[in-house]
Amino acid sequence: MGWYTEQYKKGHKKEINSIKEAVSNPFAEQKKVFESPDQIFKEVRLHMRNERKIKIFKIIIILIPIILISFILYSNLFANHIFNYFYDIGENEKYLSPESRISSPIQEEIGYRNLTASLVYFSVLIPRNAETITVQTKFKPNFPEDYVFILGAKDREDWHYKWNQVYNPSLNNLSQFERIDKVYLINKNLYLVPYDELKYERNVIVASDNYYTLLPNIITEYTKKNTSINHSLRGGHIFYIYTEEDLEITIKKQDINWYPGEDVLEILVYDANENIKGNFTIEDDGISEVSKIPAPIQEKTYTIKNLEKGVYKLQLSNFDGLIRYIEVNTNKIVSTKLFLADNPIYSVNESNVTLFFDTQRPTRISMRTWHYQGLQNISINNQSVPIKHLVNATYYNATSGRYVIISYENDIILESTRYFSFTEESLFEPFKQTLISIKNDLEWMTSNVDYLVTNYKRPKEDNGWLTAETNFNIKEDNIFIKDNKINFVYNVPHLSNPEYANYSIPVDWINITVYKKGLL
Amino acid sequence: MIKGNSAIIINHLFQTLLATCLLLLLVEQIWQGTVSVYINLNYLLVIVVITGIIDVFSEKPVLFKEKPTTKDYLFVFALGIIGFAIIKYKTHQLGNLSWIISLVAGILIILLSIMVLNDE
Repeated sequence: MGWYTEQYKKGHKKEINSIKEAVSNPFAEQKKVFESPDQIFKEVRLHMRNERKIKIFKIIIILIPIILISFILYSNLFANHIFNYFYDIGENEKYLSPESRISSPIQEEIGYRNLTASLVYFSVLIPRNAETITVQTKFKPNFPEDYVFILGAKDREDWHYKWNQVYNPSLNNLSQFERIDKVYLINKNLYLVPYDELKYERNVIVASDNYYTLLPNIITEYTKKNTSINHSLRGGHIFYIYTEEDLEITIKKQDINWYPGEDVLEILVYDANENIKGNFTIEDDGISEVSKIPAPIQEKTYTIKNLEKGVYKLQLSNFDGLIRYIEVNTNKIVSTKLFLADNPIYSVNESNVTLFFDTQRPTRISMRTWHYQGLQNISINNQSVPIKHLVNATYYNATSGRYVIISYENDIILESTRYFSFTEESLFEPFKQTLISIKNDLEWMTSNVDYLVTNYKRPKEDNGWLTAETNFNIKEDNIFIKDNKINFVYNVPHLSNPEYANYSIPVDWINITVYKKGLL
Repeated sequence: MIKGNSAIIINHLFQTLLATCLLLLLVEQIWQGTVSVYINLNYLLVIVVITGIIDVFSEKPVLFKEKPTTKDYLFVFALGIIGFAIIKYKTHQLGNLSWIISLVAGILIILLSIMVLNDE
């Protein structure tokens, strides 16, 4: 008993009790019989050692979640992290979608896949609070002349992307221009300004593929009266309108069903800050196969209530059909690009279309047709301008002033940095500046553009392959993150043109680097 | 068959890893990307499954069941409320249906836990 007392005094009460219990436990496999106190002492020591061992192991095990949770806390809150994702496109992994727009893996010296259609998507997992994302692409520049390669990062829940140029050979010589950050001064008669101040420069032409805020003008000649465009237009169009309070839009569309698939026309109205103010859809005519039979005309009227006075963008999505009629309850509606389609090729009677055009500086009007039916003479201020070539644009150099353009046979695309209208009264200047997309023609941009806004980097060449790099700033570019992923899209515009369908783009790999800044 | 100290350690390891895995999954569900970007939870899940299988086949000391106390019932009730809150948070887009789903789930958690507690 003296030994037990001594052990109790040492604080080994628990161990002594467990030994006692072990000795008297009726459930024990074998009852232990101790012949001497030494034997009991040995047993107690052995048990204590075991207990200690288990305690140590338990502490080690508890350290696992503590370390894991500490690591996650540290990584999320404090650490700077660079994440790298390498997508080997030539392998069997399916990084790109939809599969119908890419080829099977091609194994040559380098394994790759071809992009065979214009919009090919992929997504990237990103950590919370990630700051910037750099996308490198290794590809072969199998582009027709004047075409570019663009990468978009989704910046809205609906189909909207922030575009960066991946490949644009005309931008390879940008180093000859003065620049501040991503702003290049193209018109040397002006002065260079930083990006934040550029939007305050008046009457300048800015070329950019990035989101760029234009300051709207206040139009004093605006009145609320109905304006109708009773001419056929082919596919998607963008109009700028000036309105207030309730905007009423009536659209008539007619599918031409030249290509298989549904032809849904989506109509979106944006304010000057690119916020959607309303949208509606005119569904397919029910003919999803190729058909030469004239389809029925579908009509829809939509009202957007309580709009503030200002400039709005009316966007009609691209579809395989004609916009037969547009009516808006404002006297101001203009566009920079019109595809006139009053031509028998679209099963529509020919009719003269009169357009109005105004410019305060020399610019040029591009006229292009894809069909023999579109070869014609266009009248510009009573001067006859012949359209003699298919596909390649014919240019008319306009000096400052107002122009009246008459197209007699149509099936022609008219495009300019300035605005066209269907009535003289409709013509207006929506913004203090003109914004155009970057073209693969530096010579043209040098004579038509004042400032160029781009973060384009010249691709590096390696044995016929190019490695291009482009960056997105997740916060500044308002990149849309869903399920912890950013959605990207490669836009290869020439692949949406059936004529250039053979110009597929081989892609070897995509290397994505995500940078996350910590608090420390 | 694993016996003695090893069985105790395996059992402890399994319980700790399971609790850690569930906690991390919960965190990932609430703040997406906070965990999955740094740790692949699938690997952790594989380890949990392996330790779980070993634990099932190991011989553990016989534990005598204690009668549930008020504390246990309070704990079960708290778990039910937490479960309700998590499910409501994850299904809030469903509108009124979200309330029904989370309420049923919360009640189920409480009732099943009480059943387990009182299991003889």
